[in-house]
Amino acid sequence: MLRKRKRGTVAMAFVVGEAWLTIAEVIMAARQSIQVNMLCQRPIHTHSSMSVAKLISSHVLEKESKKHMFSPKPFLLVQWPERLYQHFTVQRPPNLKLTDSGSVALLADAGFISREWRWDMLPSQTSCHFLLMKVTDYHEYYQALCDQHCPPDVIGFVPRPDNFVLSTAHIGVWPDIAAVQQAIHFATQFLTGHQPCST
Amino acid sequence: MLNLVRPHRHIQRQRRRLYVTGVCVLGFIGGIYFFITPPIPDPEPMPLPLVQSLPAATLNEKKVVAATSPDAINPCASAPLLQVQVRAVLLHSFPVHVRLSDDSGRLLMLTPGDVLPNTDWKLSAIQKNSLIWVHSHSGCQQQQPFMVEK
Repeated sequence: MLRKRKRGTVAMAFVVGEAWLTIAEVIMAARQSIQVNMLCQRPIHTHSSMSVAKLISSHVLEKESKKHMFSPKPFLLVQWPERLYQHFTVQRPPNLKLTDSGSVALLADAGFISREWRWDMLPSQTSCHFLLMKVTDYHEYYQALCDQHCPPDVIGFVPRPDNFVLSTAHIGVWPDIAAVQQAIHFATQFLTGHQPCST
Repeated sequence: MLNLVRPHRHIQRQRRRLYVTGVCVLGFIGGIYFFITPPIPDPEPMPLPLVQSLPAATLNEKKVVAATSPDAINPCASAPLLQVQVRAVLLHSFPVHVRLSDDSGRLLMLTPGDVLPNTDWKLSAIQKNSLIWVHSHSGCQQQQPFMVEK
């Protein structure tokens, strides 16, 4: 993503994680402002796809209602629970064609059928990153958000950084710092186009 | 950035379609321009009047005649050379006269009808930018141009 984002663009990243539903709101301006909220605990266990969508849309609408009329629409980035995704990295074959059939063949080599998965591939110099999600899951969550009139701009995935050691005794009480990091990474990556440092 | 809503291959496909439509539109406009607008006709040579070709023929004939028959002699061939220079032509005065200088540098003043002294050349007329001499013996007529200064 090389195109330059407009100044004052707002990216809202929702990370539906194991412990918290974390929201990072990053505004690109002369000074980057980051605001992190944690909406609800254990969203996987307490919410379905519909209610998560309602929660997200209500938060987005609340943020939008505070803006003045001509401010740009915030970009909505969503990361669903980690168990829905499949992600892996393969070695880039020397003569990779960046066409549909080339990447489908690469996916088939890895053992996935491209029809059953909603997937994206990001080729780099030495490797190809794949992100997959079951088509049924994808549409279930995407449609739930569309019903609430806030279709997401990005459904992506940022791997959870493992350099944060959580004290498991207080996991229900304390905020999940790794998820915060994830959400901020997710939003800034969208705004700046930089890859997060290897986590 | 990995994005499941708009995967990279969709973006690439969109971009490819955009380029293809752009090329098609350009080709369409070019096709209209080259095939539908009437072509500019090649500039044809202007039809020249027939007279143009005649002088060459007559010139050649004349040459041939002059070379073959000794009867038709150019009258100016036998006439001596006219060796005068025009110094001034007084067109505004009456009678109109010219001032000439010959080889030795003498100045002469002639009006139309006068004879150049010591020769058979007769000044027959003064035109706007030339003098017309007639040789009285051979009948040769010669035009001597002069520059009109403004």
